[in-house]
Amino acid sequence: MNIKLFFSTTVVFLMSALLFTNSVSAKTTENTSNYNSKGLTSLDDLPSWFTKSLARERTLKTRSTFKLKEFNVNKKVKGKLKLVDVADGTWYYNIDIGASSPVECYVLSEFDGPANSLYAILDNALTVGIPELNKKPLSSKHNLALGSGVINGTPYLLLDILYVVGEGDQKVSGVLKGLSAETGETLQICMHNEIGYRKTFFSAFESFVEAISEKQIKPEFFDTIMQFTLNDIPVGYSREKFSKDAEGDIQIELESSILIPVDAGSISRVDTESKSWSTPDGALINENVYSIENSALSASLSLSSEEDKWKVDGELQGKEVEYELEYTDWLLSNYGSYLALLALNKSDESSAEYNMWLSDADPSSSLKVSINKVLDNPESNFKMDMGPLEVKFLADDNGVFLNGTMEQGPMKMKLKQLYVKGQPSLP
Amino acid sequence: MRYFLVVFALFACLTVQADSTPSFAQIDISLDDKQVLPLSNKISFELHSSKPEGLAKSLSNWDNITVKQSNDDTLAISIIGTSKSISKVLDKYSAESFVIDIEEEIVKKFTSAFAQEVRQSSSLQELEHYVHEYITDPTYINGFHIASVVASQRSGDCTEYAVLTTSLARSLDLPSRLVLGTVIIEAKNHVQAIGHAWTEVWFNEEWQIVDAALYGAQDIQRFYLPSGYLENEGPGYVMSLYTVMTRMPQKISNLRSFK
Repeated sequence: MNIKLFFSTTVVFLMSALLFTNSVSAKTTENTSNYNSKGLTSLDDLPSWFTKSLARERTLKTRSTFKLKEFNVNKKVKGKLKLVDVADGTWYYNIDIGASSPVECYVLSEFDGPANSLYAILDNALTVGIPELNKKPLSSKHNLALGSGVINGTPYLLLDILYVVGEGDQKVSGVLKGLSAETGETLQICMHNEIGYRKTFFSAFESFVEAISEKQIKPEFFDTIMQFTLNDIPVGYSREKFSKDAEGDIQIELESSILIPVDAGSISRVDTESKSWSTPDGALINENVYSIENSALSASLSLSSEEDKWKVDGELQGKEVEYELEYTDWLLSNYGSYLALLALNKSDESSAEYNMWLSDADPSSSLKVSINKVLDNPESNFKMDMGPLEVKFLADDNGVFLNGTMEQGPMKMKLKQLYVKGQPSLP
Repeated sequence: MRYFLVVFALFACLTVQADSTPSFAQIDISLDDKQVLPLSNKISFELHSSKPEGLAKSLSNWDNITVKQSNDDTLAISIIGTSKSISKVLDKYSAESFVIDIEEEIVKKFTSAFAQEVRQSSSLQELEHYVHEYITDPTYINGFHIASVVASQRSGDCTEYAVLTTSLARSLDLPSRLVLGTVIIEAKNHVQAIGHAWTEVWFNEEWQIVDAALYGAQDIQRFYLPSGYLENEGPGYVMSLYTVMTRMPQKISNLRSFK
């Protein structure tokens, strides 16, 4: 039996020094094919100077060298990059993109997750940095845009916030744009406090992230990134990576980061990470999972097998928990779920049933998961039933998930593959 | 393939509180062409659901609500006044559980403060009022918090209000349970339908609705359409939330009053 350890950290480092401007300059366009966002606030009621300012862009012709020896980074990036400050595990940079305010970027070696940390940094800027700079209190904020996508195999989250400081005649409005991307050991967060320059900002961020991500060691033989949308709003992503360890087992890493606009000015954020191990034939060996919800640890659970019994221990909503699953037979791993799909696809059977441990649904018991073939439907070739949930999805010939839909009440959730590398079977 | 669960665990809990409405909890609702406001206290409407059979079966546990299946995904529903459950009072509605953790110190502190303040509870409105005032930070950002977390953080949306109300009632030896469903709210000029959570308390020999989240709301009248109880109050409560969520309406149409 393999004993694997999993480490989690919940420290957020916050600092911000923001500039504020409403100046308008000439519009050019930055080519950013990966840029992906959806507006959440109607721009119809905004003044014309504001909508005109929103449209401005710059072409980033300047290149500068980005060196960060701790992570073996040494590459030219777009814009004029300057290291401003270094503190424990945090590097703070400014990138001049030709706008009045610089793009501010952080490299964090300790963090909560792409969703929680991005929100925390933007919120700190909104509640501390921007009011100080303008000498006016924050009077309102609105979710302007949300997005998620992939930069060179790295998923990112986007959150733009429209804010107002001051009251009455002294009101000043602005836009704070934020992007975050996790690359192995570090989290990169950039923000820009200026109206417009959305694609220019994204281009600088893309270049910054690429410089770090290309130096990451990527041992996985399979890597896939899925985008979540909720009623057509891109609320986040999930990433699954498989690699083979020294003992021939499969290490499975699953990361999900979600920002949900729960009303006009509030965002709920959740980061979940799971690390598990599977035998090459798809049986789960053990699993560790943790979730951070709105900057607080909401779950930290471990599943292990002892004396032919599955044991769960950890913390759930601040309570220590310890269970023994009633179910004692083998559990299907995430890796095994691909093998199961392939096996079903090749067989004459119409469905197959397995037991999985899905801590998000019920950490105290195993869940029966049924996979069914769907015939003569171009939009889905499989259906999966997990308790009361039914998901229809389209998978390719290798069992790789392409897209899926689940409808519950007024909400329609969709999953779409944004990126895939390799195959979900041992080379 | 478990991706869906991660998001669903969060948005299963997006419900309503007080005076504003979270974006994803809004349910499309339309009046019958000939219907004008105000409504009487008897309404009927068509309800579109992806699990109409499950919802119809669940609604059979409530008096004052009649259900007929009109086609594959549509139910014809009538509600007369306040829906009242006709189900039995079980021991578990008085017990400590993972979600309703009344034996935790912070929950005991919360309930003993009520006892000191109110001394003797003579009406369920006192429970509504106390919980409504106790939660000082109404917000939709939380997922679904258990009673000890709500008592400690004093924040949340309707699910947190309902969890705390259920705890308070149980601590006062009143059997209670958390209900999830839809509330149809008639305001002066419009009607809206929202995903919601509330508490049912066994009081004066009947199940009564206690809704601390909407305490003091300036609506004309409300109709409660339950989708089900939180059956599993253990650590697997999220699966119980899923079960109820699958029965939530996609749309309510042709709403009209009748005599």
